[in-house]
Amino acid sequence: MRQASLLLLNVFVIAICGLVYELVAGALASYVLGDSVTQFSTCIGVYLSAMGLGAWLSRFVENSASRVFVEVELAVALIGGFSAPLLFSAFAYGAFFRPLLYLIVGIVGTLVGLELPLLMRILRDSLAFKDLISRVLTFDYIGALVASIAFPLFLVPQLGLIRTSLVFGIANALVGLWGTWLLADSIHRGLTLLRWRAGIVIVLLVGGVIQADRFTQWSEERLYDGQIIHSSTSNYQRIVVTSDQVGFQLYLNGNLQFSSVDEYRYHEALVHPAVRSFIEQERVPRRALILGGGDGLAMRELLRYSSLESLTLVDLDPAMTELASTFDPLVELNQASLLDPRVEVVNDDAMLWLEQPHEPFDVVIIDFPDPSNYALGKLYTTRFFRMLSRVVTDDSRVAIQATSPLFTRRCFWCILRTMEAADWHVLPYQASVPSFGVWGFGLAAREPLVAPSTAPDGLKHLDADTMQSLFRLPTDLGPIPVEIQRLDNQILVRYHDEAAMVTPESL
Amino acid sequence: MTSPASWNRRQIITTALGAAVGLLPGCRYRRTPLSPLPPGELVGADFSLGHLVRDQARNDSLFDDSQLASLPRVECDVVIVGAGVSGLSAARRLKQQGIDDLVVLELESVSGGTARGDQAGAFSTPVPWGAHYIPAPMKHQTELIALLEELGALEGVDSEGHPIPREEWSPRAPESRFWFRGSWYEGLYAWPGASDDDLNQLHKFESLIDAWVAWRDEQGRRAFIIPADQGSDSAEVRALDRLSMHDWLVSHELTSERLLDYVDYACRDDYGLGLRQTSAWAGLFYFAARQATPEGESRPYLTWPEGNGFVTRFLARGLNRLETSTAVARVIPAASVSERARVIAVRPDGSRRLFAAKQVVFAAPQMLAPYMIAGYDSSALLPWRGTDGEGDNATESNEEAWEAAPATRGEAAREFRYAAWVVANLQLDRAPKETGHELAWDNVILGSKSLGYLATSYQRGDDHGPPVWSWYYPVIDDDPSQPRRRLLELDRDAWAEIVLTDLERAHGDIRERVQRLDVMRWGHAMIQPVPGFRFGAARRLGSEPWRGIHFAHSDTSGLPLFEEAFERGLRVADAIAKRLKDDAGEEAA
Ligand SMILES: Cc1cc2nc3c(=O)[nH]c(=O)nc-3n(C[C@H](O)[C@H](O)[C@H](O)COP(=O)(O)OP(=O)(O)OC[C@H]3O[C@@H](n4cnc5c(N)ncnc54)[C@H](O)[C@@H]3O)c2cc1C
Repeated sequence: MRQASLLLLNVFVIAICGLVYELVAGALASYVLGDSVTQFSTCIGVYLSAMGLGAWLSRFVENSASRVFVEVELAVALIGGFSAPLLFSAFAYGAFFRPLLYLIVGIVGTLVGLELPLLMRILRDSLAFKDLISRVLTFDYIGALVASIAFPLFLVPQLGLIRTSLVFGIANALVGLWGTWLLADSIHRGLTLLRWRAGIVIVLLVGGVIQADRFTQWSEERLYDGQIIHSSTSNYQRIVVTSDQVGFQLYLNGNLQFSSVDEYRYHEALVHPAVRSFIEQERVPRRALILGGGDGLAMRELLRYSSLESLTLVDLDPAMTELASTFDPLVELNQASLLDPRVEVVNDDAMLWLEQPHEPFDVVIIDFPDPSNYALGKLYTTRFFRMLSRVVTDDSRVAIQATSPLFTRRCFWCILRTMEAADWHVLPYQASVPSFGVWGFGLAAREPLVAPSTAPDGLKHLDADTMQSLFRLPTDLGPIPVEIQRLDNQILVRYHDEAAMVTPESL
Repeated sequence: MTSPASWNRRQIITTALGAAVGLLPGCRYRRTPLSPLPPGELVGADFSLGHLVRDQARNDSLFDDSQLASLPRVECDVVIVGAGVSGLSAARRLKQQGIDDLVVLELESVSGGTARGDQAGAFSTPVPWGAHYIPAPMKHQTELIALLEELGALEGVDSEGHPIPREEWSPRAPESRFWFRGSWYEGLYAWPGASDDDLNQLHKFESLIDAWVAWRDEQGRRAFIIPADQGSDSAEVRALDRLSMHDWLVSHELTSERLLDYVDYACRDDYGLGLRQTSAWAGLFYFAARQATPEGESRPYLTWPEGNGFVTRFLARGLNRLETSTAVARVIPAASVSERARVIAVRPDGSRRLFAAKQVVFAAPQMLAPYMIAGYDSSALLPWRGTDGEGDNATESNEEAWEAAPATRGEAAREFRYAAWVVANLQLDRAPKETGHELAWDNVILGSKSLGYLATSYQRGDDHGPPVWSWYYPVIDDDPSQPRRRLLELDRDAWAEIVLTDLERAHGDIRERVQRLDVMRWGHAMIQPVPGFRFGAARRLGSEPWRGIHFAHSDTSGLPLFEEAFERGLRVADAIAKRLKDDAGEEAA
């Protein structure tokens, strides 16, 4: 009787473990492949049918139910326990994620499907049939309940997916180990060997738990080309900095923002045409504004102009501007630009910030991420550009990063045409930035303007000649018909989605 | 029947949201212990003043001549009863016509009526408490265009000459999404998993609407156009008003569940009525009147964070004699042409005043008229026209429609039926969890009896700050044995529970996110275009002026729409202005 209650406790643990593996696989698949509904339903489907297979296979286990039960526990512990790390690695290496996913789900499901029938057979002798069914199923369902509540509320937030799967692997292995005592009578031979094997499995899994942090970092590193030297998740985005032999790179939500090797090409092209164009009207720039650009690199370029007395940078994410002011490699690269006493950093949504009144700026640099979602798309609307016109004078110059005129040609022209629709005069220009390919910008003003013909001394990329050449657009980057981006149509986000397939690699 | 006070949570939830909610997947494992409700309150409706006037209105002895002689007396040309869209538009038009000697009396402490909103209150953005959008006008709606232009709400015209709404006052894209089988999807029609037959029926429905958009009567009038009075009243159109939208669909072999749900949503959204209770005329109006050309797009919307309250605030701004917290208890029509009508108003402190006016605009719901206007209830009707023969729009003699004509004004007024609504505003600390399509302006939970929520803060352009949502719920009595109407008597906490249970389907952690939840209950809020009402005698009669009292409320159009309230206000004002000028001319002569 005592043995029976203890075995029922096992049912409870097994049920929790079984559901946890299923949830881990579903969550990982959603994370990697997206579309959680599909991922969860296919995982659950494969898992449940594999359980059916396991249940059916149990009939081929003849008289050694107890031994097989322990063996099954150890196997589940090993495969289920390591399922998350295995899947992460497959993802990191970009190989066979899907086949591996369904293979693991299938094997774990089959093994879990074997557990209950075996246990019931073991318990058959000590419990009446109706008691047996009722107790085993009760514990099974309670276990499932505990797992399904604990998983989202406690396990994932506290342990993370990798540790969760390893920890429950240990639980399974402990059940197996314990079984070698509980069921010692019916196992007869080879008990010691079984115990040794259980011990090894547990050691492996514990090792996994200890290494989990390093493993997470390792698998993340595989997703990027370089080695990760910083990673954090702010309220708004995931910030990752990697480094390789030639320099370091910043990624926001997995999208490359710059590479230290060639960012100067991008930032010189973004900043200097606007400032030179302002100066070439015989005006001295005093006030400048950067919208976005939390990495401080555009600011570094602006600070070359000693006449600038007041520089404001508005970036949504305090984590980004903080990083740009404290993280050594970045501070070195941006020459501590955000720490300059003339610079004021504001963390706000640029659209809402523009709703408030501000003194006009002579130069405005717009350096937002590409319009890949609606919250970013709004920063490229006629509404936004109309609000922008409230913080400039007729002489002011605005430069905007406008995606690649080659890979996302419609986006590029949509951004410029939208500015025109908001009564800006815009000159398109482009620069070549190896990390990105051909990149596009717009130089804009409230009044008609001409392209700048001079460049400041001491730049790495631009001189007077290259400055002029930026504004010569090759035919394949030329205008194409586009609609205007408005808050109530967000056509640019659709253009961006449609173009997202075209990348430098696929060309 | 149990009284609401004795309902338990389960009864309340199932009555409000349907039995299915208790059985949602996920609820099985996650039966969370009821977390404490967020703070909040019942807003709006000044019930104490409301009760005060109701009591007074029933007590005739308070209004005999000796009593009235002792009241402070204010003389003016025009008194307007009610500062909703219709009353405020009438006031604006009268001023434009040079009639400045007017007073607007409003029961509530703020103007706007069912279009009211809060500009700065307990929430991090302005919020609507009632009406929240207007379809951008078509080019023929010149008066509405003029108003909206003054407001700066339009941005030029499109290729066909119809005005384009100002960008930030037009719903942000994506305009709508719906929650369906565990995920959000873009749009309003439940397309995921729709069968070919479902889609064919949807297309058939759309082409039937297109056909109505193209349809013209012998006089070249459209069947459905805003304002509705400019539309056709030919037999073919009137026939649509005799059956329900549901029966109309079925008569066209449109029975697809998904289509019926879609059209049902439209009826609930605009009229607070189910598919089976809405007249087919009104149901088709919703779709066809907003489409300029067959196969064209529906007119884009105009919306503001505080809803149409933005417009009523503008309308009210120019009025120097708008008296809020002033309820009209009685309107006594002028005994002869040379005398003045007397309007008796009560303040919350019980003090009364008498306004003596040449003409009166009654811009409160018609259903109140029998209680408020002396002699109205029992005023017998000459065959089927207004008793004083002032009306000039009842020219056609479609005898059949008048068969069951009411015998008195009061009887006619009692045929006006109104939908009840509940609106809740929620302050969240940050975006709750969700799966599927990104947030939209309008977020509809398919299968819910609520209409879902508007992402009010999102519409303001705020993507990262604390969200504010506005939740809408029409109280629909489709089954008289269901005590649904009693829902309206539920307190704030019961409503908060309903709102959160509803939203929990799509946002599992909503209870943790919500910081404040205020509730507005609207008792008699929207005229219901049930079959027979739009082309029936009662409505016609209710919109006829009576002894110098002119009826402007949107209910006299049979449609609870901003444009109708606005139009009625203008027409009534024009009639009054003409009368006053004629009278002045006579006196001078
Ligand atoms: C929840 C809700 C959502 C809606 N959404 C929309 C929408 O999105 N778009 C749309 O076009 N329409 C909508 N409507 C319909 C809306 O009612 C109309 O558009 C329009 O605002 C009606 O204006 P009105 O002047 O006809 O009536 P009301 O708004 O009813 O105005 C009547 C006024 O009379 C006052 N009053 C009543 N009795 C007295 C008295 N004794 N003394 C003095 N004053 C009195 C009332 O307080 C009120 O202010 C909605 C309605 C509701 C309730």
